[in-house]
Amino acid sequence: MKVKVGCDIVEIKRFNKLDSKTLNKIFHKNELKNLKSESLAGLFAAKESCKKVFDDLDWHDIEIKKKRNSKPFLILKKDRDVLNYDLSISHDGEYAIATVVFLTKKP
Amino acid sequence: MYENIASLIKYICTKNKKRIAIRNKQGYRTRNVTYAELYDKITKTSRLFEKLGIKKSDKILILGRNCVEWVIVFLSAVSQGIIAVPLDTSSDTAFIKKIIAQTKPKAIFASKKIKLGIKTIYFDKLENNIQDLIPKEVQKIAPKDTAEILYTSGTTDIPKGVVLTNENLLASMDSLTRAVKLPCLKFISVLPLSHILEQVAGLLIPLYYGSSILYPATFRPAKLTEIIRNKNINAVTCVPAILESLKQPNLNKNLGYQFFLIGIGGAKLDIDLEKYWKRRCKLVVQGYGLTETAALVTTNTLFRNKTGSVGAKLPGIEIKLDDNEILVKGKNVFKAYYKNKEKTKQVFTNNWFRTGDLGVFKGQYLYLMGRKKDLIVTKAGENVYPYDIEKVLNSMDGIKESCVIDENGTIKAVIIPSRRIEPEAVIKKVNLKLMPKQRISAFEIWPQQSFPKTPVGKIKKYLVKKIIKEKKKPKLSYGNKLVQIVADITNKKPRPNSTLGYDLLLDSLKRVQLITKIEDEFNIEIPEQKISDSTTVKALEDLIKKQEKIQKFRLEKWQLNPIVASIRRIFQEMFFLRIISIFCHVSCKGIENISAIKEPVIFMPNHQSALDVPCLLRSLPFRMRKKIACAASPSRLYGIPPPKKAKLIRKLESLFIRIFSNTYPFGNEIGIERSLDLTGEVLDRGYSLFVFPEGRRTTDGKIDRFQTGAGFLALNMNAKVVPVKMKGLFEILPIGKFWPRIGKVSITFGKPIEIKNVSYIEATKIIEGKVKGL
Repeated sequence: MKVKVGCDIVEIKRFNKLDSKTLNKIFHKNELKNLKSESLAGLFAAKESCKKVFDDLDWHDIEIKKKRNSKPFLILKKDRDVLNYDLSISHDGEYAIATVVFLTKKP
Repeated sequence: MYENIASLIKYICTKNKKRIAIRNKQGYRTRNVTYAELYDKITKTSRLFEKLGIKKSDKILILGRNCVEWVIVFLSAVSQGIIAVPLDTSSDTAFIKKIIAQTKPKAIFASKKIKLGIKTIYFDKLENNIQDLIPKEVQKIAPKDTAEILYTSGTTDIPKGVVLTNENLLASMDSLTRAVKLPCLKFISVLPLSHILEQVAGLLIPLYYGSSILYPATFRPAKLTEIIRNKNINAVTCVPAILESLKQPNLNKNLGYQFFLIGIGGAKLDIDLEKYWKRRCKLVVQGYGLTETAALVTTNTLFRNKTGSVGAKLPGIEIKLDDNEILVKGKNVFKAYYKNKEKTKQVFTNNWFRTGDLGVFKGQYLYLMGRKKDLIVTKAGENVYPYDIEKVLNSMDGIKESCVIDENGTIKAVIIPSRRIEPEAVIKKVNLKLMPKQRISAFEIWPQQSFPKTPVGKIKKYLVKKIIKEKKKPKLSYGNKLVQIVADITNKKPRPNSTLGYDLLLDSLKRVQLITKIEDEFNIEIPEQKISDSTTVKALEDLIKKQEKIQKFRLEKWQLNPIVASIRRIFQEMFFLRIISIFCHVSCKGIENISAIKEPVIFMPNHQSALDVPCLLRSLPFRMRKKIACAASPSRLYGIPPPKKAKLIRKLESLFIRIFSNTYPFGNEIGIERSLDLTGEVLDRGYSLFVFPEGRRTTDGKIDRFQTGAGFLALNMNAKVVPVKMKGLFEILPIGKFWPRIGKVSITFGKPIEIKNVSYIEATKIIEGKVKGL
């Protein structure tokens, strides 16, 4: 078993003027329901931190959804032998940050 | 001459019933609409108008991109005496609201979502709305009745509504058809249908001659080139800007030799551009006209054609020059601007319409000199035509585009350099070529890569002037497209050996932007994993070149050529299938499931051995097997990516398979987009497909996991999928063996299925389940 951790920070205002093509390249259709820059920045940070852990993932291989209590959770479209994970997103003022921890089978 | 457009449409549609009128490209497939279907839909839409309570001389707004529904709604409205108000899709909401306030339309027909508080019918829902309606015949309409109100693109001013009657449009068509006679051709439409030139020369004239018109989904030059070649397009009506964008090396090879006729209007055609196309054996026919005169006033014809001129006047139209300004009179000239009496008064003197364009007659040919409004009166009181200066500027090496404006009596040039140049030196050179009164006294470098333009490609000079006055900080400009893109995104000066991550500080978000931009500009797909922080700009350029080479793979038309197809058929029937039947004793089940199929379908069998294709062919009825194409992996047959050693035997093998099994490449190597494009094209030509969703032959006789490409095909191709299960072939010729053994083969065809409204992963699972369940 091995622990893998990834984190990412991103400036929120950069999401104010992204064109739809770029957005579609990064985000899943369901994730684009809320187009607020804070939300997009948070999701982006979460995705980027996942990509830092598994560097062969594509943007669309990671989908982030939210539970009723607004706790985010991940759907990985590619099998990476993940035993368990946790994800946390936060933003304040100008920045959004996300941290993800994976427990994987293989060392 | 006909009394109104309605009777003309009725006559055209009853004369050419079975011919194809409109080909509409939707996604990867093309939908054909014949003249009879078109007329049926027009009359049904008329009933829809009645149901919606839209009566004669009410107004409707048409706001959408070019498609078959646009044509149906427009012609139906015109045939019922309903006044159509077509608008360009790119117009902003404030402008649309202004026009709604002015015209008070009863309904809006739109292609994309808008909210304006008026009943809106979307083009994609139109088909369902009119399906069960009873056709309503065309109504009697007087020639003087208004047909449409067109808002002019207005290069220099706020748009104004031009009221055109049935008589105007018919008179224009009549004089044009008397001057230019065409056979039945295949047209492509590249201008917005809200433009009068497209309505007359791109819609009504082709329909009059029984031609077909293709509406492409995008207007990107690379895509257009491909469509023109693949769909055997003969003719186009366009504006100079589009001709400029279609310029490319190997022009005739890329566009195909069947493409020969180019109608030009809307803006002034540069003489060098005209020569460029004429030298490559294209008939360039330039005409001149305005919205106010219902398209063309003068035109060259196919055989009386003067380079640089806009042609001789059309029969039935009178033209005179007043101090070089062109004045027009005739049945085609409009009567008034909509609710704007002042403007109307300004443009008419003694029933002659003042066009505001300047020109001279040489013999009977008219030569244009420019707009009267753009005319610069210098401080010395001399008249200078900006067009003359722009022509010299544009011919200079290193200048991509230019525009000359008047700044308090001095001549100012605004230029877009195509690479790094010293503007002062260039302007000096230009001045030497110009007459003393024309000399440029000031210049400015435009910050962006192109000027603001109208939908037909004319530069919006008033906007340029405004922006120049406000003066924005100019960005750096580079000749190399890629370097320019990188510089735009990183705001840094890239060198060939600077790395993206460390030197240019490209983070992950910017990287996505960069990739999107590159994909957009170069029309290719780039896998993100191939770009890392240590990738240099030079390496990126190489990557793009490599991807371009791979993904620019074109459809091999010769394989679908009737001669090759008949050779293939004879060979298959006489040898191929007979030899196979020695080894494989085929028994097939479920043939009744597919015997009723008429349109092309996609067969999805499991892949057991190299003999799968001939066995499947054998089990199909002759009617179906004569039109079959196979999807093949690009790496083996097509050498994509190129192998390290090209062996002759491999080449001959691939040629043999290409001819006799009619394959086309499908796979990740040439990109998903391209694979789907090719598939759509093959299906459009009436070929059914064999696609092996496993992607490779089985190694143990069991059915492997299906690749997601299968789901993609089922969802996007608008064709039914037939699941097929094969058994026994693995024992006859397993992978790695050369000589087949003799054995029994059983093939089971499932019922054709249509998959909709699921994700492509689910679709793949459905197909996999069906195949395994047989």
